[in-house]
Amino acid sequence: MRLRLRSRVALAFAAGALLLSVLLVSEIYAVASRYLVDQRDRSAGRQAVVNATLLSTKVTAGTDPQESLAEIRTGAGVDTLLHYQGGWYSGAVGLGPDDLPPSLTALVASGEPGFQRYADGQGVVVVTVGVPLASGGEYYEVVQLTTLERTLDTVLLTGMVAAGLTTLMGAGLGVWAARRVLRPLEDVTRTAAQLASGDLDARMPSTYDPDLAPIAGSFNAMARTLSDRIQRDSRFAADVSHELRSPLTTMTASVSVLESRREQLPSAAQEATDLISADLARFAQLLEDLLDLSRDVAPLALDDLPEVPLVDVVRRVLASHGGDLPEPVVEGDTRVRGDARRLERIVANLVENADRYGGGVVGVAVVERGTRVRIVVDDAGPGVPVAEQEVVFERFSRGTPAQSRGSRLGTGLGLSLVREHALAHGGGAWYEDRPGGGARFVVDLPGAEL
Amino acid sequence: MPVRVLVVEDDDRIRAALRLALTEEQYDVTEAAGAEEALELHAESPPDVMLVDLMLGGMDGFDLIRRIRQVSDVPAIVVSARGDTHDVVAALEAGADDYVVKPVVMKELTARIRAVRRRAAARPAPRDGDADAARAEALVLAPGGEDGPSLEFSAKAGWLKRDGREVPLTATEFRLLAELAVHLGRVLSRPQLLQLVWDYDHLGDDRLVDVTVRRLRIKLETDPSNPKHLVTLRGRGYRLQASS
Repeated sequence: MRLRLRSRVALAFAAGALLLSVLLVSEIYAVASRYLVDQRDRSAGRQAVVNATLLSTKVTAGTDPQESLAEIRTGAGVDTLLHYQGGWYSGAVGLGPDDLPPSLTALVASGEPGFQRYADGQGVVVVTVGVPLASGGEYYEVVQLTTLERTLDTVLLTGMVAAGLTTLMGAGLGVWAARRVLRPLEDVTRTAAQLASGDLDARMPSTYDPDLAPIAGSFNAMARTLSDRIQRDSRFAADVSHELRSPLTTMTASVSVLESRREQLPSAAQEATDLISADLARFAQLLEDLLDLSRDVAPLALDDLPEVPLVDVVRRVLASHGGDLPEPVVEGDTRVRGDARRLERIVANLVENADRYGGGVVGVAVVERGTRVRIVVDDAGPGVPVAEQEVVFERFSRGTPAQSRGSRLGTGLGLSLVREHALAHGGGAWYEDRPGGGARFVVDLPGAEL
Repeated sequence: MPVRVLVVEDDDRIRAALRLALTEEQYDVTEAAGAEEALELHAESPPDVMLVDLMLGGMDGFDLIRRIRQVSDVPAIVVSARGDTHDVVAALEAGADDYVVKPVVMKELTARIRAVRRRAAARPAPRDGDADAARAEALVLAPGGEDGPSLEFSAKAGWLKRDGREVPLTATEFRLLAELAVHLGRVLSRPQLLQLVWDYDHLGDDRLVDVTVRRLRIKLETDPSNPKHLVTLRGRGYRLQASS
């Protein structure tokens, strides 16, 4: 799994901080420990030499070696051991010659002072300094390095804590920096979302930052090109439709003359007239549908639109349709806000669809459902297979025309316009199986009292 | 006597096709290729109905209708390739009685011609003879005085008088005012008005009602933007009321 960019930046900063602080802490620790140990060794050596001289004077003057040793003053954690005239004398702790490293005792016995650092029987690090006495014999001081160890431990712990804190701060800095750097990207995201939701005038805020200006500039240029293109396309569709309307007017008016003189025409000409007449109607409808589709797809500002009682719209469409249509079932308050013409298209297209593919309308209902109003149109056809229940709402999708009502072929835009108009009104359109067989198309719109 | 229709259309083929189709429906068709020619023909002998295209060479359809309205209330139906709301509203505000978008279905066009003719015919010719009788039964919308001018309407005599002087009304405006007067104090919805005034069951367009109401207000109200007599009830319709 890829981490988010923000997390990755934070992680990189944290790793960098950790590496740097660990290097720094270990260097400080190494230097400090070398220096402190060195210091301790020197001071232990100096102290032993001073004490050895004192001891040598005392034993030469005839003082008992044990007493002389007891009189020697040493710091805490220092044990003493004296080898004089074949006897071993020990300080407070009672060390024996066996506690000393043999290599050291051999060296000192040969008349050379020496020191050695090692861990004693209990694992405590000690440094033992051996000095030959002028009076003969050898003097040893065993210095425990516990204090020094503790100091160094403290240094190490402090360093580790500091490294940890630095790492955390590095991560924090990384988060901040990532957010800082990603902010223009968030602007891009927001603006792109606005564009996607249909606000073609959305642009990125202008900036003077030379690093960011190119992004904002090229993004805005892209948005401009896109919205120009969309506007040009929809203007083109509208212009084409307008231009097509003029010749279509000539044709429909002329064909109406032919139709009214149909009886005077030879039968082949009659058939030709019928064909032209039928397809002219289809052509005109297609033009209207295309014009509708080329219009602004943005949702309507419902608050500014008048209240329309859907039941009136449905009645009007059913009345203009003529033929034997069932009386609509009405329940509750059917007022919606919207464009009466587009609402009329919804109902008319549903009725035409039922005629064309469903063997005619068998039931129409306009019902209030909570805060919504639904139009339900049932037909007597075979219904729509599951696989095609969404496809029927796509543009230029056509079912198999029902055998009834002749060969009127639709534009293939009817149901997609139903859905488009419903969406523009803040609603939706879908298919259901009618209980008892047949198709049921439902359009669901927000009620006026919202 | 056949109904005389003046077709104002700059596209020769459309004009010819409309002439053929309307003649077939027993109309007496006169053609004009431009607004100027239409004005001349109208001055010579006003037709019963005018069909006007909006995009004409020279003076456009909007201006033509405005000019005609200064001298006559002959019913005018716009036949245009443009169906955008602002074109429809502008044409109706200029004084058109109805609006059809090309390509027109002849059945629909003749239905609309018949409807505007009925509206025009329903209006009684002003009768000067029994002016007193007409006045006696006129509807007094405002008595006149300090609050503003007097306002009287007589459906029977066919006039609207403001401070005693007659205000010119088109056939559609007259019919709308007459229907509202019959239902004085009651709300009429847009579909109801389309049915009562325009005789349209399904050809209607709410914009017809709204624009005609607006035009009527200019003639009726002292302050059309703040109407006292012809009031809108949001989402319900319109109501005519007399001053209290």
